[in-house]
Amino acid sequence: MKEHENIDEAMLPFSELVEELASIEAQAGSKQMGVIMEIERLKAGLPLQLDLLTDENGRVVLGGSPPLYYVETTFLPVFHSITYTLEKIE
Amino acid sequence: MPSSNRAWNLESFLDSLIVELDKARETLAVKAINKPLTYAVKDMKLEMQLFPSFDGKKVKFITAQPGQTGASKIAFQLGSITDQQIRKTTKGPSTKDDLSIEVVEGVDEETIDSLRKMGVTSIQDFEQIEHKNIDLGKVTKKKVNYKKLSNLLQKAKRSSYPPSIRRAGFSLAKDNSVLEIEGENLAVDQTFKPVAVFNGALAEIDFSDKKGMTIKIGNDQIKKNDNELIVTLDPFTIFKLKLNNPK
Repeated sequence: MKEHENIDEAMLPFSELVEELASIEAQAGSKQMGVIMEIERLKAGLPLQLDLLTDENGRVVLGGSPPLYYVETTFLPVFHSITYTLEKIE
Repeated sequence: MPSSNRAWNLESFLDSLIVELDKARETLAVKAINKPLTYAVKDMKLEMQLFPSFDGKKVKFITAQPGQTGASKIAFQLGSITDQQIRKTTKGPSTKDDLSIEVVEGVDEETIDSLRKMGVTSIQDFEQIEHKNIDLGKVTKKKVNYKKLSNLLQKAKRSSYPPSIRRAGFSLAKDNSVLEIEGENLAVDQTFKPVAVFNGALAEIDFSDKKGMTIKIGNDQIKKNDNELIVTLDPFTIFKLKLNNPK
């Protein structure tokens, strides 16, 4: 995606980040056991690093990722936060 | 080049966020075709560390950078809504007869801004407010000449469907003859009675609508050649015809 080429390479375009967050393996059990359970709904929240770029025309390009480093440094990155609910596509 | 140190406005941010969520939704919907157990994002809350600023006209934001303290926390809660709710809470799409106020010549930035704040972005929006007899000057507390604005908008709207004449001909009779005109977009303003001047004298308009008009003309007024007809269809539209009379 051309508009995302200036996003920090360690981060993802925001749409891909959302796709990744929604990619969960949510089945427990097995056919052999005779029981398979599925998650109907999942609520999650996490700190978020954002790369929000604005071009000359005021257009915003969004990139983001979960925290990249957990090591404490002199200047810590800014952590925003994201909370979301996932529901099974029927 | 895009920069993270440039201020952005809420509208651009939300536009971008919604485009990103739409892309993700489309990808997940395609994925659901092949993978039966797929999840969609039902709602999302984004809490951001920002520095808001106000330049006297618009509020803008800069995302907090590492090491900066004292940022404001702003939360965006996005929930999914049904198509029925969308229809209830949003304006219908612009029709081809409608025009955005931004493209109308002669309307200054300040007026466009004060109208936008009231949700008026097109000529149709403006007309709806006018029909409800709302005094925009009092509501906005701005010294804007809304009568002049209304005229500018009507003029712009009228120029998007100009009149055209397909046929014009005399129908001669013993006493009074009539001049019949056929065309498109002629007398479109129901509140205005068109005025016709034939060879310099006021002529009576017998009938007029958007597809045609009939004008009564005395036989003695009709010259053999070079008859001139000037018709004012509405405050913004005048047409002039040269007619020959093949007696």
